[in-house]
Amino acid sequence: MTQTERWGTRVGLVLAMAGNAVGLGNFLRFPAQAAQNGGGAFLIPYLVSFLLMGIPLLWVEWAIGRHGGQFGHHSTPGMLDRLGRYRWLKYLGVFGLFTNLTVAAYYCYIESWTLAYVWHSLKGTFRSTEATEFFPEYLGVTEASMFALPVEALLFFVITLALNVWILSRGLAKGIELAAKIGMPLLLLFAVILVVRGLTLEPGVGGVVESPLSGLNFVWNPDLSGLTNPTTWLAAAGQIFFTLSVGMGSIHCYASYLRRNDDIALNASSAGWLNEMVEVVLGGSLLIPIATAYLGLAAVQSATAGGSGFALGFLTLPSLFNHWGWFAPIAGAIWFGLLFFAGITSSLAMGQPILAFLEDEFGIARRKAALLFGAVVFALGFVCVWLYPGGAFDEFDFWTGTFALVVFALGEAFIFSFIFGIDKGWDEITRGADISIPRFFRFVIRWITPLFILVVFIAAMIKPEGADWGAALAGLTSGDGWSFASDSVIGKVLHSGEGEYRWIENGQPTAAMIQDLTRLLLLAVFTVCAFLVWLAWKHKRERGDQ
Amino acid sequence: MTGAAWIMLIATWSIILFFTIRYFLLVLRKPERKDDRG
Repeated sequence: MTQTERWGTRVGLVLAMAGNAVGLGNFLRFPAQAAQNGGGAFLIPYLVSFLLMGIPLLWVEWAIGRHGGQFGHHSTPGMLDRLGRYRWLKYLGVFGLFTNLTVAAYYCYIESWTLAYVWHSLKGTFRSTEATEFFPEYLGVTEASMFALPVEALLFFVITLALNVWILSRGLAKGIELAAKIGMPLLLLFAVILVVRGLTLEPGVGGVVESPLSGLNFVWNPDLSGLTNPTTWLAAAGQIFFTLSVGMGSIHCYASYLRRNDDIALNASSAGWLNEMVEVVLGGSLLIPIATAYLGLAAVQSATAGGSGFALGFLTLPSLFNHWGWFAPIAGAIWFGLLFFAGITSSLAMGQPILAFLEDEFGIARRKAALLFGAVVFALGFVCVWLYPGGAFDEFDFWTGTFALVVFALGEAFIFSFIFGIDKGWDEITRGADISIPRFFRFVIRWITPLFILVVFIAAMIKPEGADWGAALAGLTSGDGWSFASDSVIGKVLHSGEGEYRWIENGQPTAAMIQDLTRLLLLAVFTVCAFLVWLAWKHKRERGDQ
Repeated sequence: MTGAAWIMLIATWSIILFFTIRYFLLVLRKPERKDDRG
């Protein structure tokens, strides 16, 4: 049973928590977001958001987790149920199951791409084939039918998922903690090797067209006018929110294996700052400087215009490594290897809450629970693999990896401060603390953090086209109306910017149909999770546990 | 790199590296509690 499970070492716990937070976004999203939102000036709202929303929310989630663990709960339905007397609390905790299950489905798919790229880098595929040709073929996007099955992508997905299930089945200390202790140092080593190699490239030598420092300048040169632009602040708050893996239920789960008087203040701070170090110091010095050295600044500015370095990382970098001679296959394997370690330490954190829920509430043995998790993630992930060209993957990413996180974080922040109560909450955070937290944070946790998340939530709901809030407000006051971005919640619901809304066109299903059916599938998954919670508590009442 | 870019980079890296190293060293140094069973 999970009640007897504990972390093997304190450093193992911190590395596992940091590994949970460190993901592909640290290396692919952060540098592009910083470069596109004021450069060095982006770091000011970024660090302010980290101090006023990120760190406090980490403390809150660790505290909820450790508190719930004292009652034998290692997943969020039981943890939230213990924060107050309202019956609905445990149903908000359903998000902590739903999100982990559905994010794991598409995240393991991304993780499998990095594994496939490691293989193809070592095999020398990118010496003869451009990644821009390889990747669409790998995903099955080039097939005539939207329903064609990409066999190789499916194979790597199965391998990745099997590896996750195997590690999870080994338990907390021998599985997850060991993976973090191996994966995190390797990730840091790989990143340092690439940063040093990238920043020491000399213009005019071996195909280098521009100094990598021009790329670094692109990331860091401050545009101070960005500080008065709400778009910059929202981008910074959003980046902090998503980089820390808050709002998922995985931090709660890891913290629930602590003892009652174990420290959470220092551990949470250490894991949070470690994530920032990987993101800002290493992530900010890798992708854009290397790409700038070979492509020139203008091409990199254009490639990162949407605020994502994904295209650079998967489509451009593998070919650029060819300039590195004998080191090219190794550099490719190192780059995608570090992304793989960043991914797997996060996906393991998504599996553990599900296993814990099945163990705690239904008495299912760990190995069986791991296999069950694998089977459900395979079924959901198969939809992402198969219907990727139709947009199923993007639907998973948006509704579960973006929207659900913010909803849950908003709910837990209010529950912690106003239902559990800030007095008890503050005691919970500071009990056993190995560092003293300034009392100022008591006020921050109660008022500022929920407000910050509320702003992120509202921004996600009504984000305007081009993320241009000034133009959107001007449009509203001039009578032109608010133009919702296609990646805002309302824009998604209304299928904004997708042309005429139809399910069938020329006798063939459209992307809109696949998107809608994916949404229904996600709704069904949430309903099943909620039903399982209801069933578990019904059994508890029958046993007299409640 | 412009002077302003260098200033932002050095200032931000200093803050982040200071807290990362300080807290991680504290984690390594502070003994784990084995005395209570929770």
